[in-house]
Amino acid sequence: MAPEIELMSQELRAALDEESAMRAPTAVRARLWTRVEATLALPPMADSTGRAAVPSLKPSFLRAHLPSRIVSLIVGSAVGVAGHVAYQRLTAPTPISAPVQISSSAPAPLIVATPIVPTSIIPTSIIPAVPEMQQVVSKHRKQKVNASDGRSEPGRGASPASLGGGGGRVPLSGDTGRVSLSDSAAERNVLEAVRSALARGNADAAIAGTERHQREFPAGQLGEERDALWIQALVSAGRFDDARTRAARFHQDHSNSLLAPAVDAAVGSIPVTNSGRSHQ
Amino acid sequence: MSALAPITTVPSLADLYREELDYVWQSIHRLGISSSDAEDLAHDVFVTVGRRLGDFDTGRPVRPWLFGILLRTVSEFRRRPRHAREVFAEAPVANQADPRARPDELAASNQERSRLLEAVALLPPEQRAVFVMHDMNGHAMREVAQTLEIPQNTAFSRLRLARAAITAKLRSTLHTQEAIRGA
Repeated sequence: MAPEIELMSQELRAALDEESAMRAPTAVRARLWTRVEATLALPPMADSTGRAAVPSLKPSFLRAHLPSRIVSLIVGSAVGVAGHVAYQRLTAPTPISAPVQISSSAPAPLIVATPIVPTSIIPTSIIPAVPEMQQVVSKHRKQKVNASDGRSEPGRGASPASLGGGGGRVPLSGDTGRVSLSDSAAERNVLEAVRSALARGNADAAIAGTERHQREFPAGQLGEERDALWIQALVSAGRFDDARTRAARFHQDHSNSLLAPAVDAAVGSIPVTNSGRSHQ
Repeated sequence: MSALAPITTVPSLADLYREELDYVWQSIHRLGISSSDAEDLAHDVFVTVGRRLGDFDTGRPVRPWLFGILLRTVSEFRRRPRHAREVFAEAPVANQADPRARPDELAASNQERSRLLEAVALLPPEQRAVFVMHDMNGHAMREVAQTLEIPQNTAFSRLRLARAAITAKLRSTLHTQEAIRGA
């Protein structure tokens, strides 16, 4: 039988009765969700804070997970070796026989298949150096471009150096569900810059940042966050009509979004004119 | 979703966030975490929740599970070097001017809340956890004992000690205020 709880003192009862419910502020609510989503998009050990909880290393945990960790290590090593071999083959001065052609009538075909190495051992979650290829395409749009120009095929035949380049990246068709670690981090960095620009009151820089995010990550994971920040930036820049239009589209595209309160708060902050209507 | 009742399916992180953020936020403050650290703590809690959703036992209510994660997160947070010395922000906050104007009728209530949280913050962590869970968050003692992984009798004992300590602190504060008024 459970022991009886000692009765509360009057003072304690009164203090508890007086304690009002505390709610998380609206601004925190939206910002926090963005942070949580961004952190969870990364692998557990690689989040920005390094503080996310890690399961405790109890013996039962080790028994359950150690074998899978060892298998992962072996598989990872094998993939690494395969990647290295592929890289060496890729960077060797091998003559390329099949020309890469870009049709003058096509809109902008960036990917032309010219298999150089077995594609199964090349990471397919990202294609690199899109700006480089866009330059090539725009410059030679009406010309035939040969692979002998020294440009490797994007995605399939890109070198690791170009993988590390700062250019924008888009997922390969069919691989849209897979996002690389560097993509997540790059997306987050762009939006962090937008956030700090907004905090500084630099609306133009914030808008430029959101436009950059849309350009570089058209299918990015943080599109919803970008759209919310975009609306805040437009309000901050005094472009109220644009902000309202984007807000309406935001609600259509992201119904039931956790960022909806932040968007509504931004639109609600648009000053009202004497006629009683929101400022145009 | 009734947070105190068992649920039948594993909820999504977004649903949990939407419905339980206020509970987590309030519990963080009740456990004596300063407002400046509350957001980071809440972030860590929901990141952990997101990663452990698969471990959630759908036969049990969600809030005790959340509170368990919160307690471990707070404990780990306080072990970090810069928090090695526990500093509770609620006491100084009571003396700071709030930049936003608050209605007068809320002033007394806020003062009471501050005094209570100040007293709660002075409790030893194990008593504080029981008091916050049972008396402030309204969990049954069985859930408290399960969440804290302690015998129920131990939980009752800690609750008694916590109540006595908080009552003593509240009385002492009241006497001091009356003495100041009378002087």
